[in-house]
Amino acid sequence: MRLAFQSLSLQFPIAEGGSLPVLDKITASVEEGEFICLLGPSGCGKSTLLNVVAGLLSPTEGSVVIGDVEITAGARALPSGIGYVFQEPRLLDWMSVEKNLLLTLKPLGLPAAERAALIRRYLDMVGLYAFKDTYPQRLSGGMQSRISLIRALIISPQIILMDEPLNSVDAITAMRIRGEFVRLLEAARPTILFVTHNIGEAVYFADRIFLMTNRPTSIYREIRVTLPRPRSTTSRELTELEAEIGRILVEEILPD
Amino acid sequence: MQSEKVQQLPVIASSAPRASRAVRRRVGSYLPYLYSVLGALLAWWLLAALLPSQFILATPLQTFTVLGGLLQKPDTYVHIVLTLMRLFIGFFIAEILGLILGTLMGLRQYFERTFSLWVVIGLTIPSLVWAIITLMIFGLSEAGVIVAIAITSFPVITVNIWGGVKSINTKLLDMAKVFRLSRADILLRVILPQILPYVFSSSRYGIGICWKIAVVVEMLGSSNGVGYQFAYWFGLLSMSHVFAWTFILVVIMTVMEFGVIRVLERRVLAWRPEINF
Ligand SMILES: Nc1ncnc2c1ncn2[C@@H]1O[C@H](COP(=O)(O)OP(=O)(O)OP(=O)(O)O)[C@@H](O)[C@H]1O
Ligand SMILES: [Mg+2]
Repeated sequence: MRLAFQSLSLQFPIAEGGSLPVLDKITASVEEGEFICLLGPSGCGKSTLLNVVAGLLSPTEGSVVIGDVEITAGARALPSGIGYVFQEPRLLDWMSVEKNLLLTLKPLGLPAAERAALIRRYLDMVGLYAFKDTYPQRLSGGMQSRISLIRALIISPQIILMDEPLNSVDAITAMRIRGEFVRLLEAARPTILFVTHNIGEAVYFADRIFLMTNRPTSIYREIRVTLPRPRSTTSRELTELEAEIGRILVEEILPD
Repeated sequence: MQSEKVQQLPVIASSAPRASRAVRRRVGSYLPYLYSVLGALLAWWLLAALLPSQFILATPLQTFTVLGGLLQKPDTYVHIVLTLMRLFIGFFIAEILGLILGTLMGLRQYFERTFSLWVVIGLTIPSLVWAIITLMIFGLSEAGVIVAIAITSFPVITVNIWGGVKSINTKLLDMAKVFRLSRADILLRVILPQILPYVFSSSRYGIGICWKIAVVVEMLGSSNGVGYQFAYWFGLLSMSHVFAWTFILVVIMTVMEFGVIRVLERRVLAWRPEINF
């Protein structure tokens, strides 16, 4: 599905009166199957932007068009076919891992055998099949993040919103999961908005990287990454690009 | 990718001494209950012995003698069962209505605005007033007792559930919406499990209130039930009977709390991690 942001702005009302501007005239378009990484300072408005796309927040001005659904200030719609890896795991603590995944699969109306096969496959992908009967509160933080990650992938969404999905997973496991994820994307090509603070991760995944300004945030610069896949995190082009983006963030975006 | 194996711990001790140690630990954990009960009996006995008149406090011995007699009379059980029936019917009505109204008030501002004033007013009206009003309306009938029980506990239960629904995690609701869960699933699997702890605490609180009001209403206008027994024996100034009946009440309440509510709660809320503070 295509995404088109048109001069999208959002302000949060604040308790003392007045408002906090968070998104500032964001204009961009994202092609079907494109992998976009969002890099920007903490608190600038990245999660807020994802929430607008998910239909959880209405913009104050402007619009975003998702496939054939338009979200504007007046009309809040819940676009379908979205998988969201929230910044926190947001699992249902009173259900086992398997029941959590089954509940998300339920709206798809698949036969039981197919659901079971999907759950097996995705739990294996993150190495947690042995924990399918465990309650989320008895998993470590990183294990919960991994479940939350596959909960979004298992429904084969057309758009995937990912908010720092691997940030509490150790470096080695994260690397393995990234590899699996890239392989998964070869089969289906969903459109992806991927928020991360890890520049290396951004250049590893992205077709385009949006560098976001401080709050109120807008797109400071777009960087297209044309390196062929599968990419190697240690290749010279990748590390050079990583260094260049680091320089822009530190010298041009962070100061103000 | 390999899955993480759940590793089996090697068995270190043989099972027999471990079992007896577990039994000992289990018994040990009940000792504080035992001490508190013995302490209370001692205090009761001292107080009864020190007070000059037998019309104020009956001693434990007098009370338990009367109690032994009561337990052998079939009538005793009839009174208990009658009170329990009224109690549970009234409580059940209040819990269901409170669950519905409290949930609506927590989820929809419209209901909150419409009912919050009345719920608060309902809370402040003394239960005795409800008892008198319902007796005036229904006369000396079963319906009057049950309605008085239901009306008194209804606002308390509603307020509990209302607070519970207000405190649910809206981030989980957002998650449910994004993943397109059905309304029924959102209600039953996302909202209800979050308010279940409040359902338990409101039941506990509600049953306590229902007992008190049941006894009061029966004292005022009934010719049977535990409350009637209180009124009768109090009229005859037999404190040992009043105490024996109180004892019966307390035992039933305790069995309900420890034997029913806690067991249910532990089972339903098994997913919650233990609180260690
Ligand atoms: N529901 C809300 N109501 C009011 N203000 C909000 C709300 N959600 C976020 N904000 C504010 O909007 C700003 C952007 O928040 P957001 O969570 O989008 O940042 P972020 O870019 O995702 O940061 P991080 O990288 O730390 O996750 C913050 O100043 C935050 O205080
Ligand atoms: Mg964020």
